[in-house]
Amino acid sequence: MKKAVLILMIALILAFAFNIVYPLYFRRSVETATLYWGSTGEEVREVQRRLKNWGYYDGAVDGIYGPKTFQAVKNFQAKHGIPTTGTVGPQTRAALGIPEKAAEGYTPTRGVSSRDNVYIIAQAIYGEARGEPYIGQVAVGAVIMNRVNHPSFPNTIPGVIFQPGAFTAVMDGQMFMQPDETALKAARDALNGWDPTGGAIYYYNPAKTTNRWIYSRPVLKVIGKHYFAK
Amino acid sequence: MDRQRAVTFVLLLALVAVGVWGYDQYRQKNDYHVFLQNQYHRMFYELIDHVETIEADLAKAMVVDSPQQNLVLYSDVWRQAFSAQEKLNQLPISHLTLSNTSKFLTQVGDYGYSLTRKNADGTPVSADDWSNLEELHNYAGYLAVELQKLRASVQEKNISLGDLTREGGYIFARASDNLPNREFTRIEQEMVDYPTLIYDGPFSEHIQDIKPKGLVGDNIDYQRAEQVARGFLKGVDIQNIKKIGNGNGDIKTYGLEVLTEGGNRIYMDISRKGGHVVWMLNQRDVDSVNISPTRAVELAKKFLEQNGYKNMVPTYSMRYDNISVINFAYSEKDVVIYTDLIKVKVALDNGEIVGFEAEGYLKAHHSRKLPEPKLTADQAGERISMRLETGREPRLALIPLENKDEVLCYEFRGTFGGDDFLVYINALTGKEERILKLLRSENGTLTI
Repeated sequence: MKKAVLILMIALILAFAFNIVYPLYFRRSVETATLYWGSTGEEVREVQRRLKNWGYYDGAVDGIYGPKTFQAVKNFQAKHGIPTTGTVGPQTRAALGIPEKAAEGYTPTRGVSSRDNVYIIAQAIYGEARGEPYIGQVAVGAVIMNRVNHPSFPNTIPGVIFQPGAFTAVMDGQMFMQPDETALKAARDALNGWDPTGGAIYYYNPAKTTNRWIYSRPVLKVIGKHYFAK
Repeated sequence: MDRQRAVTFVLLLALVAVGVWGYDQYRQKNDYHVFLQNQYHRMFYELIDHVETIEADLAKAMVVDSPQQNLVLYSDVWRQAFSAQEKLNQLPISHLTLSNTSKFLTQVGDYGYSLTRKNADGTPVSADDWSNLEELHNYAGYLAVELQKLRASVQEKNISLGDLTREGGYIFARASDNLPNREFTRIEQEMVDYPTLIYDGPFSEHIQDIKPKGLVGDNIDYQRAEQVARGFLKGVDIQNIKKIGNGNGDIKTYGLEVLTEGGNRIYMDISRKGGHVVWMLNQRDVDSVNISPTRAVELAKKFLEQNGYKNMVPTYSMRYDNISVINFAYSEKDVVIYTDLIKVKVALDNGEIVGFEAEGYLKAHHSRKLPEPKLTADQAGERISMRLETGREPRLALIPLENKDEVLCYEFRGTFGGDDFLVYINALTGKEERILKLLRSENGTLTI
């Protein structure tokens, strides 16, 4: 009985190992046929195309292995330390990077991208401008977007929002609240390119600001309590 | 007796002083706490951005086929991995948990660097490189998903510093276990030879201050702007229109607030030159869906035609909050002009136009002399990687480059391993100008 189990185990392990090793070492070599002067077809086209893209070949991509292709292959081989046979065998093929057609090992992108960062923009808007008219909330979001594109500010949305000293609500922790629906909506509009400010990168509330420098900036628009400036 | 009183007094004074000092310390502690928390959040969010960009770059690398584009992609992978690594190691999570993820990022960066150099030597990507890239891509994708999960829980629970340490630690520990068990060749780097000049990038201010090209017509006064608004909002029961401040940006505008009979507010800016609507936003909440996205596109197109925007073709649409946002580009002689862009928001309950944005169009649109393509579609198709499965015929498109040049390209749409890509081949030179990977965001669809 014990023996039977042992044999079964060994058989299973062998089968398992075979499945892993086989595709790695054997399958790949089966597919490759050598291409030479006179060969035709899709594979030749691919060789010509790659040689052309990399500057070794200037003839037509016609799928016919002629003298020009032959010379180009030789040049390529000479440059990359492969025996200059003028034929495309496994080594040349690998160096040219001719791919297997199917994308077997590739996993497509999963999940939902966060690149838009809607949520933190909404948090910043809610912290900074809740109580302002809707358009004033979109405007605060637009200032964040304008800063991302401006050479004087960080290049990412989180970079701009969390930049020390940039936004009061972020500095005093007010930002870490659940934003309401309006703020989320305003964040999406700002992200989609609606900019009520006409390109502002600063804003301030004149009733609260003591910073003198900010008054020197040209004001582009006044919305609610905020002055939007460049 | 007096002495006792004096002692009590002194002690009381001391207590008050300690209280004041304690409160001050408490306040300072809070300030630092918030400051640190902000920094950690920034590191964390930027890390996700970098990892997602790495994933997208590696996916593009699978289907790119020209040395120029390879150079762009691999050097970007190198740069992104470097930044990601830096951010990762500033998170308040023990190095032990992070070390494998950190190692992975270093390897991706090194690999990108080595391919950049290989590329510069004129050596194509080899078959081994392909499989390495594939593996690195898959892990980058896995890491991105794990980070997205962590982000979701950070946002849901309004996670504090301590929790980020714990939850983050757990995720990174798991991510490390799943790291592909394989050593990628670490190449010697010439890190010392970093160029010291920092290139300011393509967004220099003088380029930003472009003169709008699409503003045609005479200057108008405010009264005329109100008339424009009424014409634009056909079908809306307007109670009154209020002037709310002028805009002094690149496009000088009149700002208007429109109050509807239903009590809604609609905001819009109208250019002082020519009286064009620059943007419009209706704040109305949309609660139900009664019309299809296809119908929404038709309505948006009709709306554009009514307002004098002919020959606009839809290029992309997105859906959120029961609203469709549709991008339109100008089309001339069957060439899609991507710079002349207008966005329209359609409410999916009754088909009303609730948003309009034409800044791109008004800044870029002018009459162009389009060049004739020197390559046929088939010739351009030869430049596309064989790995990419292109289904339909390409179309001609004019796309902007970083330096604001506009180039005529064939636009190919294709798939690879379940991901969608757009490849742009210069119709005059055959150069692979641009490759875009379509991101899956909330309900975004391409409508080519």
